[in-house]
Formats: sequence, structure tokens, C-alpha cells
Amino acid sequence: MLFANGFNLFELIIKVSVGLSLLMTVALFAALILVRSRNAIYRRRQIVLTARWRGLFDRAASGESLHGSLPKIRKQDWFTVLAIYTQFRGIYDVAIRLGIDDYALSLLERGDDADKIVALNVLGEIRDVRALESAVVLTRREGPELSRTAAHCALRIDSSFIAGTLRLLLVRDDWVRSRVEVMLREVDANVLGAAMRDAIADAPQEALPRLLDYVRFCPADSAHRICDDVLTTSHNPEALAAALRSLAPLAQDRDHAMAVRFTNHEASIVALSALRVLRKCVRSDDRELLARMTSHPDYWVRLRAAEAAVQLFPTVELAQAFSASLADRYARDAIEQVLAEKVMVAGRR
Amino acid sequence: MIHGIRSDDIISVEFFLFIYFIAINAYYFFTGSIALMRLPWYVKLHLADPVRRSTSTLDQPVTFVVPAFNEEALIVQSLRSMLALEYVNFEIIVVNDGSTDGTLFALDSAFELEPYEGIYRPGLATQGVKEIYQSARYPQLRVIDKVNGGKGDALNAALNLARFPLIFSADADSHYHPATLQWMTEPFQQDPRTVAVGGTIAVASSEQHLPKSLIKRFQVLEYLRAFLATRMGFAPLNALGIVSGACGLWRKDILIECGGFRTDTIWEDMEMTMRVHNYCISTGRAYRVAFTPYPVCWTDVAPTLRALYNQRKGWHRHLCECVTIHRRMLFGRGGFFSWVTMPYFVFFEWLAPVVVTGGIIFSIAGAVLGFLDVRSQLWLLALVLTLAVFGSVVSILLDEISFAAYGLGEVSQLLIAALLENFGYRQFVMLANLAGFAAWLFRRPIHGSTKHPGPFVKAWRPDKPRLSD
Repeated sequence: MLFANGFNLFELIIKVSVGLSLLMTVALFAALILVRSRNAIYRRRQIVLTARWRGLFDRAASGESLHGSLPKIRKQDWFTVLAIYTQFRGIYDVAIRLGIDDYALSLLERGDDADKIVALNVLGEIRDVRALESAVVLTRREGPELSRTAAHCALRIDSSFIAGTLRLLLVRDDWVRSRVEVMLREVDANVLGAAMRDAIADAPQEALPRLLDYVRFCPADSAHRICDDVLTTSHNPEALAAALRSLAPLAQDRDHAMAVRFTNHEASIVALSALRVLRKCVRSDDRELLARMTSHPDYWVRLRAAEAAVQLFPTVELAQAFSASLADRYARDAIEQVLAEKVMVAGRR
Repeated sequence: MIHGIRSDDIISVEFFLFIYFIAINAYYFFTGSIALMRLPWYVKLHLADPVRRSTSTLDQPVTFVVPAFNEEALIVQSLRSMLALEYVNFEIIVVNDGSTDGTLFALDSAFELEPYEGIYRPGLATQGVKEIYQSARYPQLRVIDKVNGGKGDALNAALNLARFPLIFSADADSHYHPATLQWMTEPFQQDPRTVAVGGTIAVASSEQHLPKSLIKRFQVLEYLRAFLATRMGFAPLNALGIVSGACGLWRKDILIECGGFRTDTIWEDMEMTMRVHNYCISTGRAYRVAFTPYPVCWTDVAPTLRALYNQRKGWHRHLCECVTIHRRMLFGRGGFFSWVTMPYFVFFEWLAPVVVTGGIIFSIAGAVLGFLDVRSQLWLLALVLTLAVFGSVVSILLDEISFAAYGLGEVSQLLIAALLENFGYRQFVMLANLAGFAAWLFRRPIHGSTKHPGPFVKAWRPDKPRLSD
């Protein structure tokens, strides 16, 4: 009896579960049909919309004046139109005639993160000063995409915000660096150079490397001065290494003494970066130093020292002779490695 | 008493099976719900930001590592897709892991290999390296020709040669989206705690969007369930249990600190993911294992039942190896990983073939011997069926609200496949998993896998490392 009751109860539970799961599956199936249909309509509309608005913005961008009334934008199409608009440059008139600026402003106030990103891109492109305050506030938001886009927008509207942007870069190590590059490249290089110098002078030592990576977008003389300043004032190995790294592409003969000095630094990362500078201004009297550095315990230091050493010799044979004169097998390996790369590249040319 | 079996025991077994199915599906419901909340946000964010495809010299350089064993047919085509990646600074290291076919010859013909005279630093012990080559056409492409040692061994050899701080583990028979590295390196920059990023793999098809073969379609459903419904659900909790070997980006330093890839397991991806979790948790390191749901990798799936059987047998064996190696993580102090992912792996993946097969045998025996009511068994079967279809419909819906990869006709075909897979296919896969479980239990070698054969091909003694003296 008990068995029968237990079985009946169990069967009832299973039946209820089947009913529930069936119901959920049917509901999900209905949702799928709904989403699928909506997507199909959306895709068709997207094709028409993209063709229409891209064509129109293309014409505007090519300088053609658009007479007559412009097509009206339906509520559900705004996001797409704004996203298309952000791919064009310098067509402010059309944007204002269409009311794109007003809609983007409203989206900035009430939309979600993605809406705000689109709005910020549009308002930054239009240089709409009404968005500046909101953009500056949004730069303090947690999300890396939104805060970075807000900074980009603020910078486009008011180039003096470069100082604020560089201050943000000191703390926002979550901003994707390729996007920061896009942002900084839009700023006048001289303005960036001056702002970078001030920002680096005021920055805490531990945050310096983050800014120094972007020094390459400043004019060469300004970048050189910034790196010099850091190298003469800082004692932080990370900052010194970053400054030397940024200096390497700009290195000249006058940097030789400094590069040699830093090759003796106790931190490998500093010695490594110093060798990158030295490679650009190596002299024949560095031979002994480089022979010593190719035996450094750190592989990368050995390799960079070998790269610098190979610059001293006009032919591969002379470099090989230098390698053979080295007692340390790791030093020989490093030279061999560099020569292998060099020969391969030369052969390809 | 019925046929010598106590009736309350019968109810207990039935109730256990019922609870087990409900618990498995509750897990899917849980991860599916997280994915349903996260995916639309992710997709809209991608649409909103048109400059996100930019690439810069400031991006971290990446070493693309491609282990290859008898991949003559596909490797050249795959490497061409890798060489076309839109990224400023990356190198590709192919490891010919003792192939017995013409893999090396195919590479030489296509990429004009020349001996590479640089130094190979054997920091991680591997089977002997015979020769290292560099492409005359593509300076960023190098090939290590080594004695067979399994996929983990091949990856370790590549780690020894890799120059860059990020390591992308790739498969020689997969194809990659040109923006793969741009998308997958972003989490490393957005969160410095990131140690690994798993990418989404989709099923490649030469015929049309959805493969014509029913076996492949079933696998499409499995990939949708695995990546969109399960991994997308685990990732926000920092509980991703597997970074796929075909599409995973790792910090090189963490791989080295963990001692490189294991060579005594049949595969390496899940074990390395678990080891990284284990290592970071035990050393108190703040870390994140991220996931990118955008499909960036397309792979060929098993075309025949035999290949599928071998593949799943191998996968399950690897799972068995991983849960036993890292058993201390279960209900340990690893947060969501220990309390959500590990129980899922142990109870609903590792033990599933045993429980399900036991359940099927119990039901059949009960029906034949008459100690189970056939009607209640049919109801139970109906429950299993509806829940299975439910799980598949969730994953199709997830695809539809995110990337909408399939057309109307294809979605209909997938729905039909979602129903059909319950009649034979799932049982077949379960059987392969059971064979994998047995192979692990009795330590039997697995032969004839569609992918890498692991360390079971006869291993040679290591050659002398290629140092200059």
C-alpha cells in the first residue's frame, strides 16, 4: 500500500515536471519564433536603412549639398542611424538638420551603456559643447568602454581636456591602448607634448610607465625632453625602463653616455631598455661593455646586448669572429641568435 | 518485495535518477539564464563601438602556437587564415609533433622553410627537437620539427621558442577570424588580472552555413550549448572550467609558473585551465579567466560515427584525468570555481555516463522483469526528452538573440535536430563517454582519434637540446 502510494506520488511529481518542462519548452519555442521573426524584419530593415543612410551621409561627406527635406528617422532606427553616422567625419550640417545631436543628447541622459557610447561618439564628432559636462562625468564611470569613449568625446569637444585625459590615463589601466592611441592621435601633437610634460612632472612615480608609453605620439624633440627629465629625476626602475623604451626610437649620439650609464643599473628591465637605446648609438669603444652584457644572467638582456654588438660589425664574418672570441657559451648563443635573424631578413630582401 | 528487490529501494533509485536529471537541467537553466542576460548586452556594446577593431603597436604581441600531428590535408589552409590575422605584432610557431604523413613537406612547399639558426631554449623539458625552420616568405612563421610527445609536449616546445608574453593555442585544422587577436587581447588590457581568455568555436562547413550531415548538425547544437549556454554562463562568475585548446589565449608567465602543459594527460586544455585556477587560488593571486562569446574560430567536427566515438572517448578520458588531478578543488576555497564549476564537472559530466547508463539499464531491466511500471517509465522518458529539447532551444535562442548566425530554414533544421538527437545520438555519445571513463579507469590507450593522439604514440628518448655547444 505504502509502495503503491509512494509510486503514485512519484509518478505525479514526474507528470507535473513533464507538464512544466513542456510548458517552458513551448514558451521558449514561441519566444524563439518571435525573436526570429523580429530579427528577420530587423535584418531587412537594416539593409534598407544602411543603404539609404550610408548613401546620404556619403553624398554629404563628398561635399554635395542636400537640398529638400531629409528622410525622417523612426524611433526604432535611431541607434542604427547614429552608429552609421559615427563612421563619417565632418558632416555636422546634415546631423543638425536631422536632429541627430538632440537625439544623441537625450540618449546620453536616458540610455544604457551602449546607447551612451553611440551618443558620445556622435556628439564628439559633432563637437557639441552641450555634451561636455555629461561626458566629463561619464569618464569617471567604472566600465572601460564607456569611460574611455566619454574621455574621447570630451577631448574632441574641448582639446584642453587633454590634461584631464592624461590624468585619467594614470589611473585607468583598463582602457584598451589601441583605442587610447586613436584618441591621442586626434590631438594636436604640440598640445599633447606640452600636456604630457606637465602630466609627467606631476604624476606619481609608480604611474609614470603608463603615461610614458604614450610619449611616442608627441613631437620628437618634446618626447626626447620628457624622457630626459624622467631619466634624470626618477629612481623608479619601471619608470626608468619605460623612459628608455620610449627614448629608443629617438635616440641620438648625445644619448650614448646616458645609455651606457643605465646598462649598469641593477634592475634588468632598466639595463634591457638601456641596451635598446645603445643599439641606436653604439660606438666601437662599447665592445668590451657589450661583451660583458652578452653574458648577463637575463636572456633578454643578453639578446639586446648581442643586437647592439652586431651593429658594430660591417660583415657577418666579423661578428662571427667576435662571437668566437667570447668565452661564455650563452654570449655566443645570443650573438648567433641575432645573426640568424639578421641573415634571414637580409636574405629575404 | 518484487522479484527479490525491496520496493522502497526501487523508489529510491527512481527518485535519485529523477533528482539527477532535474539537477543537471537546473544547472543548464542557471548558466543559460546568465548567458541570456549577458549576451544581448555584449552584442549591443560591440555594435555601439565602431573603432574597436583598430590595432596598434601598443597592443601586446602574441605568439600563435599550432601543434600539428598528421595535419597534411588542412594545415596550409589553416595557416593562411592565421597569417591573415589583423594584428600588428604576432608570430606563429607550428610544432610538427612527429607527424608520419607529409605535414612538414606541405609546410615547406607552401612557406619555403629554411633552417633557423637561432637559439632554442629548452626551459620546459620536451621530447627531442630535430630542427627548427623559418619561412622565407613569412618571417613571423617558424616551424619546430620534433619527436612525437603529444599535444602538451608540442605546446611546451613552442613555449620554449615563443618570444611574446601572450600565447594563443590554436589547432592546425581550424580557421580564425581576422580580428581574433584584437578581440581576444582586449580582456587582458581591460583587466590586468586576466590570465587567460577562452574564445568561441563554431562548426566549419564547406557546403553552406549549416552542415548537411546530421552528425555534424548534432555537433553544431552541442557547440552552441557548450559555448553560448554553458561557458557564457560560467565566465561572468570567473568559473570558466575550460579554455579550448583550439582557441585560447594565455599569459606566458602563468603557463611557465604552472610548469607548462602536462604531457601525461590525453589532452591539455581543460587540465591547464584547472591548474591555472588551482595555482592562482592557492597562491592567493587575484586573477580572471575571461571568455569572449563572439565566434572567432571555426573547426571541422567529427564527420563519422567512428571519429566521433574516438573523439568523445578521448574528451571524457581527459575530463576524468582532470577531475581526479584537481579533486581537492571540489568544494574547496576557490569560490565559484570550486562550488559551481567543479561540482558540475564531477557530478554532471564525469559521473554522467555511469549514472545515465545505469539508469537506462535499470529502466529496461525493470520493464522486462516487471518490477517497474512501464507507464511511469514512459513519463520519465518524456521528462528527459522535454528537458533535453528545452536545453537545445535555449542555446538556439541564445544564438538568435546574439549573433543570429543561422537563417530561418537553418533554425528550423536545428530544431528538428534538437528533437532527433535524443533518439540515438545522445545515447551514442554517452556510450563513447562511458568508454572514455573505462579507458581512464583501466588506463587503456586511445587510438584513432580525429584530433591529436596524445602521448600514446611511441615516445622516443629526448634528443640533445639545440644549444650551440
